[in-house]
Amino acid sequence: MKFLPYEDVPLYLAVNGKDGEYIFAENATLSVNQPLSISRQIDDNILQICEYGFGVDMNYTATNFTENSDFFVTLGPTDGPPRPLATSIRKIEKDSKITFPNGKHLYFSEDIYPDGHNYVIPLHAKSGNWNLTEGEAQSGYFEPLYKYVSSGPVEGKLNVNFYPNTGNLHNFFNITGLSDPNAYPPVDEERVTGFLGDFTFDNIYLTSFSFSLSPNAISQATASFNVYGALNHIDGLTDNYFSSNLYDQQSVPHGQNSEIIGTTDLDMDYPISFNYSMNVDRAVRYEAPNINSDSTVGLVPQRVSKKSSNISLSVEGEYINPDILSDGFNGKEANIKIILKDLNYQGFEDNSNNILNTFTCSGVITSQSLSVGSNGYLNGSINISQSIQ
Amino acid sequence: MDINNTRHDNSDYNLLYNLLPGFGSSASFSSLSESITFGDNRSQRMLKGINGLQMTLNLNYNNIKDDETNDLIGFLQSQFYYDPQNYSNNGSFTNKRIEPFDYQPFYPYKLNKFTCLSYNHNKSYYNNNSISATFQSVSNSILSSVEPGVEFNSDISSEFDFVSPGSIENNSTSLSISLNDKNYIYDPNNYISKKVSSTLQTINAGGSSNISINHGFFNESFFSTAKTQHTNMRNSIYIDSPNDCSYYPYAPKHNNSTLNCRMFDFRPNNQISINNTPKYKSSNASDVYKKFNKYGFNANLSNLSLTFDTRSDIEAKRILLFLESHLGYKKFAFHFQSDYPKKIEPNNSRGKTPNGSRLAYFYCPEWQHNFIYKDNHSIQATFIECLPY
Repeated sequence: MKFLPYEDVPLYLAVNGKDGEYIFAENATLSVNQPLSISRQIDDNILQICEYGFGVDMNYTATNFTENSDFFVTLGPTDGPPRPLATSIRKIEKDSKITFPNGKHLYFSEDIYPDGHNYVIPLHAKSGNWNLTEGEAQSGYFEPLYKYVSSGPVEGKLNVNFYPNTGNLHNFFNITGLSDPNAYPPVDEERVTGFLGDFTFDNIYLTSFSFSLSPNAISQATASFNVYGALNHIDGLTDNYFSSNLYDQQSVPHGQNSEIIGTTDLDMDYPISFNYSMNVDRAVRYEAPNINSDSTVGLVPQRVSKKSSNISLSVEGEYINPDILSDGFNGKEANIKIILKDLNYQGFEDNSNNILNTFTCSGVITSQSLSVGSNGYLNGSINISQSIQ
Repeated sequence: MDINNTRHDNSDYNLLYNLLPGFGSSASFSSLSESITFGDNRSQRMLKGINGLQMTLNLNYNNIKDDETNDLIGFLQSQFYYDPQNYSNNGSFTNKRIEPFDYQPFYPYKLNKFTCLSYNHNKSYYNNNSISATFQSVSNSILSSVEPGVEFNSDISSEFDFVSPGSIENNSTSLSISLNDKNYIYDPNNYISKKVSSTLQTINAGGSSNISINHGFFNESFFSTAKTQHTNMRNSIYIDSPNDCSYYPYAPKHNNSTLNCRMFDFRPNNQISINNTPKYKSSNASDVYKKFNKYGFNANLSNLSLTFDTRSDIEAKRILLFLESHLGYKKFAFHFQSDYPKKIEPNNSRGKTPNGSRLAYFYCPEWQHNFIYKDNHSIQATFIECLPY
């Protein structure tokens, strides 16, 4: 057991079947969970002794127990026919106590894993010279370990905060991007694969991407993926990642040179911050296996489709046209373009890109606000929404 | 109005093989029977012909693409396409019949003939569709059900000897034993079972083979002889590979005797609702004052709606095969729960019914199987109590 520091747990993402990239991540969280239902059946914690022995005849005869003795009993109601242990039980542990009325106890003498055929089981008496009446033998109470059953697939989330450090936003971070430019319909539903440290995943799908920018601040992006299927651990998978381009000099988007174009149409001359986000609703399709299906059918999705996708943008600035909503019945149009740039230092020759990426939002204004306080200036903000795909 | 499908020949039923329904699909079974009820509430039931056990599939295809939708809807619509009339010499039209198609349902069912008379197409978003379809089995004969009854039937069941530890000899003159690693064999004199732990063994009539048996907590000795329902004659109407299912192969032992029907040894959920509707007759001499009389000697016969949730693949298959082999009208015995039913005391008949015993008998005219998730099945069944004679 050892603690793994940040620098030893890289995040790598790739569109299925293609080369991927190490992500310049500030932090990443990977989680999966599985819905489970407990299995419970009628009288599954009640032990009924039908007969002492293997079930040759169905006459109950009260038998005196001997101290520290093992013996077999056939289970079921008096007179039979025998009935096996409930299949809702995963395991009955050896020495589990069976409590009968009037302070009488017997014990299981072996671990038992019920399979629907346990008509006869071994029990143990710790003390001797006593017996169970017919009525008492029908009322044993015990506490087994119950089965849990998957009621749905393994699903989870990968959340990552990272620096969009290249000029191109990888299409696995771009909801409208296409991994195959010739695809038709031009809606990319390809799965993303990768690993976080030595833990690999094969079926993740982007659900949201967002970033914000303000003057004199580095921009950080947040992405969230839906995770399907199991995680696998491959020992030593990331042992050699130090030689990757993640350790090259990096350029990150910064508010100093980045531009927001289009706010003047909203009477906002000096935007002071903005937040840009893309979200997509996804629908998952699992197939129910038939007798010819291989064992993976039903465990991983056959399709994760895109449904409603939206871009939302919020901008804060020094002023905002108060007539927007009155002018914009059925939606006041707004077109905002964001040009994301790095600091573009002179002499920083290794990785100075200037323009990193351009984002647009051509939608309608959904809300606006104006606020002022005794210790500040009048501030305005607007929220713009665009439905795509 | 027919869907536009340019990819395939719509009548190609292979389209159905490429698209599996999702979890939540279900199969319903119901028997078509006639019943005679006598004064003591004894009933006699009889199927209406050899096609008296019907299977209906309710299939859900969620979140499928436009081209897949076109394939499926196109195929289902093609069953009703207009064809030029071909008038034959005997005065009939030859092309009016809706031809059944082959379809492989979900686990554990086998390929069968179906027809689809009802389906619904719901488009929820661009390139996202859902189809629900009802497939009705066509002309399946109950004569296809070859399953041993309560007694050993040498025509369909086999008997074998253990000639030495790990080696068995098939005593049958015509049947081959087909044992696999899911099967159990039972001692002929008691209720000890042992699990077969070797892979599939087919032992021809009169032949012998090595076989591995899991002894569990019993001693190493083998039975000298045993009977088994796992033969090449065994067959099911709707379920694939019935030889995966093992049951106690002898007449159930009860009160120093044996039953004349099989035991249903599966337990319903621990949350049950027992609805009591005793039979009675009311006088109609006056609308205001009525007298009520007990109707028949056995007025308290139950009608149970039981749920068997969270069942594994193999247990669901065992339940479904058991119910199918009773064809919706044959009776079986069933231990309901520990506080039902009450035993008749010979000297105290007050409050009892003449048939009262600790054992109750039922027949199951209808049941429904829901495929919840992988290795998680739910079965709802209607059990109607009947008299043992």
